[in-house]
Amino acid sequence: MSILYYVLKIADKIAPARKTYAHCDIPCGIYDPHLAQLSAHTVIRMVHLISDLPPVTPASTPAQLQEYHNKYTRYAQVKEQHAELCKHEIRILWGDYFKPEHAQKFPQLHDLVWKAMKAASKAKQEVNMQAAEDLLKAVEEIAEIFWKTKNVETVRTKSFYPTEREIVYPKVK
Amino acid sequence: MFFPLARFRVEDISMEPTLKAGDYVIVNKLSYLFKKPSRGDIIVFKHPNNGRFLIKRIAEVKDSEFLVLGDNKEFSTDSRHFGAIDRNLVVGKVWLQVKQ
Repeated sequence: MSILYYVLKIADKIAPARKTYAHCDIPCGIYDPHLAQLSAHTVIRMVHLISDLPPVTPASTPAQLQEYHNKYTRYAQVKEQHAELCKHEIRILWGDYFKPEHAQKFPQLHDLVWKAMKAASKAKQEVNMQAAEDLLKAVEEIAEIFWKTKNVETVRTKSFYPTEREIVYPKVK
Repeated sequence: MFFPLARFRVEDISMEPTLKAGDYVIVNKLSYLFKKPSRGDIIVFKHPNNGRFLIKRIAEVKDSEFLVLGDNKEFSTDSRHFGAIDRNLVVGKVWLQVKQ
């Protein structure tokens, strides 16, 4: 610590220096596309679970009907929540993290965000595996771009989730 | 009483590695009285929308306006967000950097 710094620090206690900010928002710097990927996987999983529900028939008992409706409602609700969460996370990356120079370097970025948004909406509106797959695909590509902007290598590997789909991780050295 | 120098404390990280949070800068308010600002100068100015003091580096000079950028672009809100800043908003040029 220089003598001048020490003098200014003392002066600061007597008459505080004005603050000058280098940023006008919270510079938390904490961004990660992982949550968007988890949400997209969850949407796929919920479509699986809904599709695997044993169908109800006129012969179903009241207990079976109740179980079916209860499970269906829960799966649909989680699908809805996670598709929305995925949209939320992508919006944060797009609006707060990505800068014009990133979009210049990766011109497909805006289109990918748009595709992810549309796919997430479709995945909410319908029980649609293709929409869920499209959502995950777009989110994974966004994740790869995200890490590239940080000069971090990525690895695309099969996840350990029941979806058995891929996931993008930053490569830890 | 007018005093040509002003003391500021840097509050966050968008000018890293040049300036870190906690560093002090002494700003010369008369720097641009007879001399034109030039690209690369570090200046303190008022945010065009909220009036807070910001510290950035001049990236481009356009007549009476400047485009400013933080050195740590990833964590900087600057002319990429709020556009060019008017010369009237400039407090002065950083004359002395006092680091921790």
